Amino acid sequence: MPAEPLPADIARHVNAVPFNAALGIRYVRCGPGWLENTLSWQEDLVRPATASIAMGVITCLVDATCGATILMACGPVRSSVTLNLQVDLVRPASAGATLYARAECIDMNRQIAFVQARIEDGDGAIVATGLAKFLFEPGE
Amino acid sequence: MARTPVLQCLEPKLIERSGSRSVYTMVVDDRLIGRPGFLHGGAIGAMFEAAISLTLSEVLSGQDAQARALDMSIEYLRGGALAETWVEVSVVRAGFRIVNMGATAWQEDPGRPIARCRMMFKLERPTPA
Repeated sequence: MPAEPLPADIARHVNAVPFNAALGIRYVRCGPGWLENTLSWQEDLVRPATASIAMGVITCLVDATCGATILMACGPVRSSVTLNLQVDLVRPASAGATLYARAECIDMNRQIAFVQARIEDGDGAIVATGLAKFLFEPGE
Repeated sequence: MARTPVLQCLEPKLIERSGSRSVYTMVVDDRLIGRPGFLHGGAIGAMFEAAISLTLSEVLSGQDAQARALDMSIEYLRGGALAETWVEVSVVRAGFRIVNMGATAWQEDPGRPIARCRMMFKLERPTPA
């Protein structure tokens, strides 16, 4: 098994991605094969028609969290691309709620990793679930 | 320099609408970067959602119905460059309770899509059917 990356490196990896920074997606913590990010409520992420966080933003949170989980599950990678992403919006996020996303790699083989995500608000109510497949190239 | 909020910068511009098909262009800026030099997969997802939502509001105009997104599924086909991106949206089925939408995104060449997407919406109407 390759050495696990340091949490500080993972945090930098998540927080430094420009689009993550633009939306306010931040690293929280990680462990073997899993990772958590958070997204604070911001008025400009709300789609006015529904008065809730836009589904596109939820999708970004799923992608960013699942993508970073690859590093926790597969060790050092030379590259990793999202092949597909499925998101179910179970319940619209309540106004003002900070969202927490936890993703876990459920299985992987030499090049493909399957990652599942769950998004909750601060009270533990489920907001969305996600499933993503990644193609990765092991590094080092 | 003041910048527009990130979701507003995705605001799609309608280029063409014919029947159940609509084509939009999206302005891309450096906030949408994921891995160096490429669009973030989530940014592509947000573009799809913005274009699909706009088309849906056209479809529902004049109806007393509120759409709630139920799900979204995206297939990433090619890396998206930091370039103008086109999104074609189609209404797959507009039912009384459920609407299914599809979309494809490309840059430069419509024959080389960078991603495709489908979304499902539940329509909330004031009186039950």
